[in-house]
Amino acid sequence: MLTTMLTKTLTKTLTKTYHAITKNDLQTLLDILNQSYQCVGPTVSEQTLKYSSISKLSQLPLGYIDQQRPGEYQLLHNTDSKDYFSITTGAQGVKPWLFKAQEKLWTVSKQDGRIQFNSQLTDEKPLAIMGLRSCDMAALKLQDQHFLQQQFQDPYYAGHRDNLFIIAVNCHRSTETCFCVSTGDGPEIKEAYDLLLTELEHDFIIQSGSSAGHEVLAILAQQVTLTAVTEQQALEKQQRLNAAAQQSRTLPDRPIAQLLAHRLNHQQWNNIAERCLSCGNCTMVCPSCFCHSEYDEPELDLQTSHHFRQWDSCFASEHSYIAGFHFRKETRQYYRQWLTHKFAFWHEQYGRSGCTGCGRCISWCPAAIDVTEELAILCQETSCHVD
Amino acid sequence: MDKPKIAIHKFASCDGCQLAFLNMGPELLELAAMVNIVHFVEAGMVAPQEEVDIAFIEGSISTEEDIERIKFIRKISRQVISLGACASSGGLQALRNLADGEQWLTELYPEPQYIQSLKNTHPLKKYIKVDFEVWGCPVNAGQIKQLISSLLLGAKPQQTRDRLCLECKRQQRVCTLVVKNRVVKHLVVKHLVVKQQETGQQACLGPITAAGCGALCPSVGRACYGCYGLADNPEPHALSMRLEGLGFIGREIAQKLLMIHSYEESLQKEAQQLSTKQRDIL
Repeated sequence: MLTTMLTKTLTKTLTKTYHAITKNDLQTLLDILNQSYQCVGPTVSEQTLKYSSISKLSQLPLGYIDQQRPGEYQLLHNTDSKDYFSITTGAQGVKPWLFKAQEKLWTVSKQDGRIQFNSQLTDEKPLAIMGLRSCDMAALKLQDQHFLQQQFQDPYYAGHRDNLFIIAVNCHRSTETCFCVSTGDGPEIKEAYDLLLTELEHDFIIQSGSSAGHEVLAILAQQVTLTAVTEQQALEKQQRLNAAAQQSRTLPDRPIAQLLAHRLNHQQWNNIAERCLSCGNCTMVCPSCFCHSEYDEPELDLQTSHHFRQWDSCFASEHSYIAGFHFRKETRQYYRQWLTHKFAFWHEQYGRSGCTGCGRCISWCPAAIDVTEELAILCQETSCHVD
Repeated sequence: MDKPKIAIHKFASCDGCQLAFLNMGPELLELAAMVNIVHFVEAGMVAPQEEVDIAFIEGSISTEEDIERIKFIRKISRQVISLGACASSGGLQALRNLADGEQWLTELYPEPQYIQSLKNTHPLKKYIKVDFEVWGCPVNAGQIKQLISSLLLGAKPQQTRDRLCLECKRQQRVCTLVVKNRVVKHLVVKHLVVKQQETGQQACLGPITAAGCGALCPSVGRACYGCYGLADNPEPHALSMRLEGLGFIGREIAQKLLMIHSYEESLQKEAQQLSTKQRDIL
């Protein structure tokens, strides 16, 4: 498993090949991938974008764009559009496919007077995921850092991660809540993909970034014509990336981590707590959040019990319950924990901030709290403390 | 060792919570192998006086007789467990506590003198010590199974009071407070039923409601009604402010908050605040 990870990292440095394919050629790519992988991609479902199994080009969100604002998500459809990937993100990216929202870890049963543990390591068909954006790719790297730390690898995450094939897609537009430029994670995807697509008006530019990607590209080349990228197409790619880089939201251009760590009694935490529902949606849609809880489900015969883990949230009161004591009790404390972990203490843990600028916590906050706006206030030159 | 005895008693309620036992399907047979169900009228066993290890109580206390009966059940039962909204917080019928029940009686019944009920209806805990509360309107078979297997193992039952939002998002449900998918309204215009699609978000109570139902309503694109009672650290005021911001009027919000768990003081307080902005909430 580790060697595969290593290979993937090494092959990143392989010479990248740039080709153009027609939009219809994407169907051939899907056919090839579906032979060896369970292939998932963005689809329109329940007035939003969800990743689900795809085998036909027609399942992709052709002509759809997402309009995201604080606490608001709406899809619009342009029947004249020829773009499959104008839509940016839905509530989830790749996280639920690797760090599963609910997963059985082991079953324990009594057999011949002895207790027997059986872990449920995955034996699924390998996954190919199409449509991940720069924010998703950066968040994937953060999740890898957390779950695949050298001597403490999580076997469940690693099991799903091991054979993952990634067809990343460069954004050609941003939605109102995007701020990946400001976190330094986008809009252009630079690494860790197997294949990368950049959608142009009439074609895709396709490039491989790993040996697995190179193999798929070689098979594709036998079935469709890979043409050299023209100067015109390269220019269009750059124009489209530039368009995606037009973002109105930014993080404060100040040392956020240091400021937050010293502003734990800022008045703004109380102000936020008046609006915050403490619902935890921000943590559920955050592609880097990794907290989880575990629970048991005993069978009625009392001979067998199943042990599960599930996504947890720092907004849940049980999450801060230790040894008979809740050490966080108020919404102000829950929100502060989330924000300071993500933007301040993550640096100590993993060497950078835990935010990749996807804006999901802004769009999917039912109370329309905008993290960039709150950080701007919390990190203002003069701080307002309360004791 | 003798099998533990259980009883299922009914007070003012719709019977929906008892059905959770019958809805267990084949697992009910497994349960019957582990415990001795001595009193369960809906399934045909009648022995209300028998001493039991676990008594499950459905329904709220609404009459003088109810008070005597629940006190008696407490005496003959090692563990008393409230089953569902009515037993745990008075349920739908507690709405009458907020109104003039006497007036309702005369308005609704042709011969109101035959009805003898308490002025207010109350959850069990007002009259007896309850060992464990199971929330829901109605509760579901999974909760019952988890509860009984834990008790049989001698473990404290684990039933979450975390928010529905967490359960909902774990299932990749779409947030009804965010996606503009307000339900179709049926209006009657000149005797014709007219469908009207409103654009906007729905008034979902998920952010203040405890998980446990499996996000039943959001899974079909509908807002949460709050059946499972208040979650830990609920923020009803922040929610009602947000709902007002989304264009809901105070009356709608108050009715929504009070529908199932009107017995909760924090919900009453919030509804009261909304009513000072707009009179005549109920």
